[in-house]
Amino acid sequence: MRENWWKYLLGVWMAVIIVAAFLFTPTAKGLGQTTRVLYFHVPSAWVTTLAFFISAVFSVLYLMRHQLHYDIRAEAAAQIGLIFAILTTVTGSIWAKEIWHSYWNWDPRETSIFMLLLIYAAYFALRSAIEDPEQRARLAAVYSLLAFATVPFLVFVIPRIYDSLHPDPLINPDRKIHMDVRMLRVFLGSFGAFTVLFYWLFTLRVKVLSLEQHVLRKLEE
Amino acid sequence: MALATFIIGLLNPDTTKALIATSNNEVGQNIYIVLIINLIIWAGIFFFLMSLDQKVKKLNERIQSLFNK
Amino acid sequence: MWTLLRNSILIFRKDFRLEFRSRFALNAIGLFAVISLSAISFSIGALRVKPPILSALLWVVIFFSAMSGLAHIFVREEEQQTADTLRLLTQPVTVFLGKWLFNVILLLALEIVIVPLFVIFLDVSGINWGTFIPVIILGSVALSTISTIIAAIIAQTSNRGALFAVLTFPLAVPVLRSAIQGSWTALEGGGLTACISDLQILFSFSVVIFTASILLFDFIWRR
Repeated sequence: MRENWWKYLLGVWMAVIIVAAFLFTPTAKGLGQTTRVLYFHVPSAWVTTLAFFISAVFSVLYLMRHQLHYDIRAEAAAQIGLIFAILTTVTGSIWAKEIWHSYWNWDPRETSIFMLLLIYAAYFALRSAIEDPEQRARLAAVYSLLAFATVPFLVFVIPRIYDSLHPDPLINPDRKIHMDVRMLRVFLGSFGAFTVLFYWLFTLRVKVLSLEQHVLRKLEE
Repeated sequence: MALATFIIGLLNPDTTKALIATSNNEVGQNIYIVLIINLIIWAGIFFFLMSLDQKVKKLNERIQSLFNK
Repeated sequence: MWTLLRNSILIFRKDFRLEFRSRFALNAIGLFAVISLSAISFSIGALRVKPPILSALLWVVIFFSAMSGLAHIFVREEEQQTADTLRLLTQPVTVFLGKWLFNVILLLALEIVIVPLFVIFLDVSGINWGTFIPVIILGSVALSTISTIIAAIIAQTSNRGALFAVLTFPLAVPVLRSAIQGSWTALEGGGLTACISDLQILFSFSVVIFTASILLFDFIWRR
């Protein structure tokens, strides 16, 4: 109970965010009630990129130290990243149908999240094709780092080709936050909640994966 | 609903006034329903995660004691 | 440094000779490119296709030809079990450099076949060759750089054939996008200045991936 305090805090915190997202914040001009997707869709996208980054960090650590528990962490982060990438794509697509009148039109944001989905899918396809744990860890880590090296190009190339209609509350040409203070408060609060949720899911997944590895190793002995 | 309005009122009195005004029209009614659905989904996910957490913890202890015999 | 380069050239020459001795693989790759090009030309028929679609089709053909051919060089070493000998004899970097050089030249050679056929089959006119050739060359270098390192990865897995394209495509998207954009400009007769940013992307992509590959190849190659 005592070590779980932050989990209960997250439970309450997320509930407060949900209430605030629906009742406390005003709507943005031109988006109407769909503004509220902001507080759930954007943090999911954030978790997707965070997971991708963390997976790359643990891949580097694995290649440097060759200890399998780093590989487990890289895999766990990628798994959660994949789930949140799917959630981001689906919620974004539903929202796009309402605002742009089509589920999918290769907007730069749609394209980049789709690329992340493909990279995650390829990563797991590679993992499933290798039997030996050491080799799997090694090759998956290399692939993950290669993917990490190409992401800046995606970020640079894609927006140059298509014009985006995606609303830009934070990242825009004049680098100012065009957001109501109440919206910003809930928005940042939601970022915090999603990050803690990611941490919880991540530790849980790591525990399960290391148990699995532990049992398998003991059974082999 | 009244409770929610009250809690929000503590945060911002202006919003409360606007909320009471909007709660009488159709959008105002619907948003409470969506809000409650969202809260229920979160509660479901949260308690599921909590129980999963406990299960993993117990499983961990059992496996440790099993192999350390 | 010089011995390193000389060894890479040695590996390149070894591969070159091996591939030409049994011309089976090279023929298959060349035929694959020709067939995919004729499949496209055949299905389009007598339609006059506009430059944006033409350049996209060209790069689809090039991408799949690369996917059919560029993995062979590493897969062969594993299949004929010569990889371990190489591991004992040379440094990993020289192996990578040799194979990379081979793949770049193989893809460029494929394009010497594909591009003229493409121009003839699809009745292309008004190309600015001074723009088109640099785009094709830089695009191929970028594509073969990313393919070579992925080929090294998949050579060590089961289920090699299907994985190669799956793993390469997400990472090759920036290359394909800029190359299609660049050759589109060239097909409409635009000059080098019109697509300088595409060339910059292709060039910097090659440099970044090449450096990353050299750093990471050790981990793939050594067991």
